[in-house]
Amino acid sequence: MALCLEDAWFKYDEYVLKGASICLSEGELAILLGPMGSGKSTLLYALANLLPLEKGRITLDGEPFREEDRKKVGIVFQDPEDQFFNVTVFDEIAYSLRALGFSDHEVESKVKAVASKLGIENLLYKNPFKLSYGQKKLVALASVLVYEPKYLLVDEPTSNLDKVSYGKVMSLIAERGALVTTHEVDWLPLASKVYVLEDGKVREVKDVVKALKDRSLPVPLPTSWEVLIETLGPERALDIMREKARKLTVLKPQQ
Amino acid sequence: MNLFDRVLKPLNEELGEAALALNYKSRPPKYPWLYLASLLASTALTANYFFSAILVSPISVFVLKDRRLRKPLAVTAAFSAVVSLPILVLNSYKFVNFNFRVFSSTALGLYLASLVGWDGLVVALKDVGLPTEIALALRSLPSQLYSFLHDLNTLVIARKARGFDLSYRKLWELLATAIGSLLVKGMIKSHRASMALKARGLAFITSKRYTFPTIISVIALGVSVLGVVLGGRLV
Repeated sequence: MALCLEDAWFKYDEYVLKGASICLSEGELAILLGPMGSGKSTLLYALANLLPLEKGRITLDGEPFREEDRKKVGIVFQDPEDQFFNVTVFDEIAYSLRALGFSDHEVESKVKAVASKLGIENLLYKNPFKLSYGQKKLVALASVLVYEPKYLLVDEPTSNLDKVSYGKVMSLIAERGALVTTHEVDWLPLASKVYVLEDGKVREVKDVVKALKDRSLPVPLPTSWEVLIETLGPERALDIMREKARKLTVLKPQQ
Repeated sequence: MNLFDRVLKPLNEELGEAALALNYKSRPPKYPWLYLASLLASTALTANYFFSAILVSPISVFVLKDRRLRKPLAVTAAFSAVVSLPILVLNSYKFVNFNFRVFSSTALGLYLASLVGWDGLVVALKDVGLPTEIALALRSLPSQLYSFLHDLNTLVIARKARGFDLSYRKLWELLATAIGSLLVKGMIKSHRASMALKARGLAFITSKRYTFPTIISVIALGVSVLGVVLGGRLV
């Protein structure tokens, strides 16, 4: 059971994806790293079948992706404002549920439940365009989590969040599994798969410890991590990072 | 306080609210046949606008009674009056005719949106063959208009914060130079919003939920478009 993109080719002015292939299994947390402008967001759009690919194939659970499969794939954009098109936060979150034909009562209870999980109950009747950036990020995430898509694709979910929201978002996403593009190394110990997008192609990092040792991951490591790796070695450092992630998300990170 | 603070900012806010007001959900239909008759009259018979006014007035009263509908109607009417001022100098009859047509079609359009909701309207149009891309763009139009105005506001504030002179003449210069980049930004944002719509719902809405009022509204919209295009030449 997986959502896969195979041999994808796509260009804006020049090619961004040059035969990129990636798979997300159900319930798995995978992270996608890559330098700025490498095409991480484009890859997510392509995987969600939102771009006209020049070449390539998208399959969902082994079958070619069909229009009716859209409800099984949720995507959260990097800039939350890009995905707002409703008057109130409530309507924004409720949109997909209404489209799926849920009753008003069900819509209300589901919206309130997801809002409470993310701590945005007090924003429900506000205009989404008038919120702070961090609040917008939470609303954008809620609007997708609410209809429980089988596969979740999230673009930079924890950038610009305060510490409390950061942990909440991380744990919610890690709990249900997703493909996450990020620059934040905190995600690294939680992920069961790590991918890197470079020169239009995706490669899987099989040995994270080795990659940390070689400094071959395309994300800047915080000084604290550098010190840990230098003094304790990458394996022990990764254990400590796992512990930190466990505390942050109150979840069991991947071994 | 400069021109932006006194005039453009409140206008910007009003327009933003008006755009968002279009977004609201459907309500139970009221007098759809009356609506259809009035629509026909206002669009096809606008050459004889005094006669049309009699037919359109019940709808206008309905719209004016609704606080949420009143605002977009007032903003549109005010805009229409301002842009048609040069016509007043040349021909007062044409001025009244033009404003009447704008007012009546806005009132009817708002009534239509309140009948089936903006969503319902777009989905119905999609069902009768409107290309999906256009349907997506239409659906995100009200919120994108708000977003566009928000960006304009931010841009002016950013210029002010950096000590730019925002006197009357300079402000218009700034707006003129900013419009291109704002349009490009708006296009990128609309594209993303249409992708979000595609991903989050419009693709999986079924037309089964939209029945009698939707059908009436779609017919009426078609007639309205024809009427606006022909502009009273039918009589």
